[in-house]
Amino acid sequence: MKGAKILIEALLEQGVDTCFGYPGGKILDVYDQLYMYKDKIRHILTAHEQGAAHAADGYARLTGKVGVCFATSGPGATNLVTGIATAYMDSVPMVAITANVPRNLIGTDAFQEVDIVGITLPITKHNVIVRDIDRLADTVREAFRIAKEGRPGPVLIDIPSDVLKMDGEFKAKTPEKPRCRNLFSDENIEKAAKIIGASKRPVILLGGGCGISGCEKEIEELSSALNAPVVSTLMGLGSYNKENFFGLIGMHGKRAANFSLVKSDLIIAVGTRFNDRVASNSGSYGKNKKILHIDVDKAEINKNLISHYNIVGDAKAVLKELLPKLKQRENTEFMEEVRLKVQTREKIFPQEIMEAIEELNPDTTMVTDVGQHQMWAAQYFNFKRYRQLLTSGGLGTMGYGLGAAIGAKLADEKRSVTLITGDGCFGMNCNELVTVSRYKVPIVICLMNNGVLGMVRQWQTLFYDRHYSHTDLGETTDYEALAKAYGLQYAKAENEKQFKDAYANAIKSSGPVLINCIIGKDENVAPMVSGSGTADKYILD
Amino acid sequence: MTTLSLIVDNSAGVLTRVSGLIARRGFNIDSLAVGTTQEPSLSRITIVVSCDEATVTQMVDQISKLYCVKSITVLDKGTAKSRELMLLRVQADAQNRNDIIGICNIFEARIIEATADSVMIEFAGDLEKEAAFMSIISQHKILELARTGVIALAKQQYI
Repeated sequence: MKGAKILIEALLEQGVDTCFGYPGGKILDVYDQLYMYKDKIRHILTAHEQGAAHAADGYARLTGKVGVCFATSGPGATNLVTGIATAYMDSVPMVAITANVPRNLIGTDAFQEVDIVGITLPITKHNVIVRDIDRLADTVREAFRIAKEGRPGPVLIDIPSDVLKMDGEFKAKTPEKPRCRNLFSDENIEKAAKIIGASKRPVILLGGGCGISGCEKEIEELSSALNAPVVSTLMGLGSYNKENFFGLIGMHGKRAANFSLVKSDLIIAVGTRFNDRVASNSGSYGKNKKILHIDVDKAEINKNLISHYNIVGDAKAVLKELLPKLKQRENTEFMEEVRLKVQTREKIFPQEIMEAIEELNPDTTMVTDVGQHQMWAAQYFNFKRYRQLLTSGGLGTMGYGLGAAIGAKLADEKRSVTLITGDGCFGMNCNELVTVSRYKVPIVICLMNNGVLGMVRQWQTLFYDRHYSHTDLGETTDYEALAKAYGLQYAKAENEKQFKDAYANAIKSSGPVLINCIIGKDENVAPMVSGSGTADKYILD
Repeated sequence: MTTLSLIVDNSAGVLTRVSGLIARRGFNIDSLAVGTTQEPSLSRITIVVSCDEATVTQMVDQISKLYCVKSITVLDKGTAKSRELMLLRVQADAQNRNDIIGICNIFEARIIEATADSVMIEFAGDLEKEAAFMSIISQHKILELARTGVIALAKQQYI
């Protein structure tokens, strides 16, 4: 069996039904096999390899399965880089497969040769070049296991084109179950229970690891046993949303949520890494309180923030052990204090947009790009399940949204997908409208159009004396014509009523829709926490 | 001073993975030595660092995540024997040659090449002995110097 065929067989063995990519010279043998196997494996041709990587990411975030993307050697491979880095920073399971020049040309600066393994070393969980046909099938198997196990992440497999043409053997195997290293003992659990028992004002902080581990039920039990406020990072949104959930924390976190962290005497942090957008000042963050850190990745313990106690293990496994050791608490004083900090603000149009989407289409998957619109979505949409918000949190990749929305929609065609994007982000990768149009992917694109790079401009307003250097995009794009060019239905919305009508029509439509929402350029994201103080010192209220 | 002893796959690119991780995470290292073990498929990488305990822990945790790393052991003076091999060319003529020979004798260093105006010395020892040797031999003019980096093995009772 030829190498390229072994590759496809190995992917089928892993249960791959959909992949994203772009053909080219060195990967022709793989595409020839994709042609032969088109009944078994669906390949989505994107406009650009970056879009393919983001689509594989969106597919993976929505389903929890491993996303797969293909690219040819050289520029095809380098175009994947931003997409791989995005997945790496948000712990998304992905397998990226690139072809390279034949082995005898490696290292000669051959046409379209690039050392993609070298380039992606810092942004993959693991990567490998397959020089031996006998290692190909097992390499694919290991790649899938590594992508899924423990803290998930992207793996890149680079295959020289002559290996794809070589003859080898393929013996089917049953896919391995991903391993998870739980490094905790009964003693750790006892000690954690004691720390929790001794606390008076505990708060539960959820990160992206909660949803990955699937511990929503355990979080619910923990929160009801402790009667404690629950808050979340951007990546954790949707893991919990009962009435004691106070929402997003961090730089643009909700007042009550940040207050609960500052005033607590114990933060029970589950599956989070205290990124600088969460703990902008790590020095003041843990002051006057204890931090109990639960994470599957031991390297995250005491990396960004020194915790007082930690448990290394899968969140679900840890909480399952911990829950029986906890006593039911009745004290609600702290919760009431936190509740009093819940702010009612004057509504802004972006908020009305998020609330309208929630009212009309509460189960839709929200995919965002990066910037103000992303924060508005995180602040004003009530996420009811993990995997309802797909967003580039760690890398903050502008241009992530459209590719990811395509991947998410194709992963589950019954589920509605709404893309919240800004005019800056949309401009970066709207080439993927080609893909939307080619496959008639019925997503609703809400373009938050303020004519500026809103978040950067907000910083210029606050910190750079309103020197609006290159953040004014002008209003040069005719979005109606753009929508028409790619066969999208188009609507413009300048107020809540217009938006509601447009969105209601959009979700009735069987095809893709672009809603051009006109937002004021001076609309800021608030609140905003100062980078140097504690999480209750606000720059913007 | 802490020594990290890694057993890694003996395959292309493994040294890059380890050293690249150290560089991009901003860890400072004093020396790094690599060579195959008695098992041809495995290599040992020995890294000497001088940083606080928390940083050592973070380094160990990050390095452990590399799939090419089979094991990692933290060693120190109490738990391990360590050596570095050093070659030096020292200016030596009739005037100072005997003094150099005397210093070499004290430190069990060997002269492996001698010419009319220089000698090449082979020195092996742990970092402490090396520092003592260097403080004396540097009274003479050192023309060239090469070090292998420290290698170490755990003492029997700490294996």
